[in-house]
Amino acid sequence: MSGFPCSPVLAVLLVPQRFLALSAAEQGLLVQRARRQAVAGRLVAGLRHAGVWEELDAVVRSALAGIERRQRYREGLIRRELDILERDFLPAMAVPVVALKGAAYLLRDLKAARGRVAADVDLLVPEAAVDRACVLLGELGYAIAAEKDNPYDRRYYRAYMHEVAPRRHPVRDVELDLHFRLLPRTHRYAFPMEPIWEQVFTLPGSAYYGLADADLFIHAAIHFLIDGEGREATRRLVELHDLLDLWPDQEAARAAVMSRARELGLVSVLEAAFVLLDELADKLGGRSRRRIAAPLRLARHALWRVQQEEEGGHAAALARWLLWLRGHLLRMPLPLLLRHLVTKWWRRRKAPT
Amino acid sequence: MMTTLQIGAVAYAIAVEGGGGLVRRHLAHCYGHYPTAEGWVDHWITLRAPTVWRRVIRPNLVSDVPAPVPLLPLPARLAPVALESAMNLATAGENDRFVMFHAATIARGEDALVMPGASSAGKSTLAAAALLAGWTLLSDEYAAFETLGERRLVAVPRAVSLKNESISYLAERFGVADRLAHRYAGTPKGTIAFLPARPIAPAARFRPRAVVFPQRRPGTEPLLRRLDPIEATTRLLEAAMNFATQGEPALLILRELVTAIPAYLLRYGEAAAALALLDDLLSGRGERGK
Repeated sequence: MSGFPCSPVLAVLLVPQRFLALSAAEQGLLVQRARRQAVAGRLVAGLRHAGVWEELDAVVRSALAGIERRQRYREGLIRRELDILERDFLPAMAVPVVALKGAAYLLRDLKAARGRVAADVDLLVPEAAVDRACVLLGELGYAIAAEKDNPYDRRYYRAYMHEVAPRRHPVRDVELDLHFRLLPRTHRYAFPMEPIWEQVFTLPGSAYYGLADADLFIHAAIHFLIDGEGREATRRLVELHDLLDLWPDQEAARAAVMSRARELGLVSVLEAAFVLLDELADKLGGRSRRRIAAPLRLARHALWRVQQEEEGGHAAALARWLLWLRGHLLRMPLPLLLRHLVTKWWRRRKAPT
Repeated sequence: MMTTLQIGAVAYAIAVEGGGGLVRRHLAHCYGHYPTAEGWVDHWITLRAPTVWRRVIRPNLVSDVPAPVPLLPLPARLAPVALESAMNLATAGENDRFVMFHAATIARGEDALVMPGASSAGKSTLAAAALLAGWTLLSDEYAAFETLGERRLVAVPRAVSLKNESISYLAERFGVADRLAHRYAGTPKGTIAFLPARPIAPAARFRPRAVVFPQRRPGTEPLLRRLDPIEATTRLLEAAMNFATQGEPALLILRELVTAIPAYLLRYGEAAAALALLDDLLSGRGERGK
């Protein structure tokens, strides 16, 4: 426990009117917790959208308006980076370049982009074009982050991960993650990319491509459930919830997503995602709990623990460690994982302090 | 222990697990005369041991406030330093209610002087001397401007954090050794003592009348030199804490600071002589264009 009461961050994000029922002090605590889980921008956007802005106390409004300005600044940085890449990078690539995650939400003006504080730009290129993309980005001034700019990390990312080592332009404060798959090559749930590329489409009014709706949802779900380490569980859960807006209702979403999940071999993962979303509804409305496939039960429990910790509940160190361990075990076979962890540990020891 | 404090326009809630005795003494000494927070609380700060065993074996404390580089835990005997540093970090990094500059801010009535400067420029020494000489101390760390309305200055009169030789200098010159009796040696910045400030109402607002960049050079005569707007802009941007992220209000405040009021470089050795110059400046008796 933090020494302070718990805050219903998730509940307020999904039903912003609940913010009004809190005392001014509780609102302050909730805003701080939302800020530290990278959902403060989403909170403010929700309050604006729900039409309760004018009912807030003037001090609270000024604090939230400052958060809004900060979020818009970050959003502006991402939009500018996307514009620059659209002008300088995309024409030279001559293959489809797909905007992923926050970049895609922004370009498509989705609900999931509302108030989102994106830290980086995520792009996907065909694997055959990734080396040329790296050369081109280098010519445009993007450099690999210093701590990753070594032969081991470059080879590790290229050979085993789903993206190359992150890059950053020296003048602009935005990280660029260049993906060539949606999951690491050695991941337990890795799937071929051909079906994904078959369904990408040009985003209206843009030179970027986007993932099909179901793939966009699946990408968010797999990073939350089987590739992450349990960080920002509240933000990832709300993002998934907001992506349901791509369909008229949750049943339509479930049908479209599960059909695609069957093609990609991700049925159990997406089932779990919908169970978590149902449980979210349970927490808000009080419906009955659904069953979940055994391998994902522990992960579900751990994610809820982490989410509760983010709201000020008991420390969830064990849950976080389990998610970290699970994330790594899923990412690569055990011998490879051990070799990687030992190498990382040894490199850190040898690194100059 | 848990407590709340209304420090001018900013409210803090503080929870401490372990080291509570020293923190209680510090709060009583520096903020015993401050009101508790009644409504909105800006910053919720928890100090706790970094690990279970550090509660008992060589007890350490660390705050939960995010920092640009991970904070090193401090020994429990430095709990007040850990707390003040956490309050600093929280206000600097997580308060978007105000456009903020790293600056000491002092006032006579509603007329304020904004004194930006990097760490060790001498702004805390000057701020503490001003407080002891009867000025109103708005803050020794921040010039915090409202983002709406007339974009005036607000007060965040936390205790002044004095370091190393500044402590004995002020104790001797102003005869306040008793108020600086609790000294914390062995911090990452050397020895630190906190000088209690005076509470200011949350609604109090102040109008900036001049920007003064202090430079303490012991043994030199005080000198006030007018800066042109370009140099003032460059120096203010160096002191800006959330300028880029706060957009339009930040730009408007900066424009006002460099076009509507004069900016000066203040080189000083003795705080009392420097304050006399600043008094003249504020009252209009001093050279404004020197």
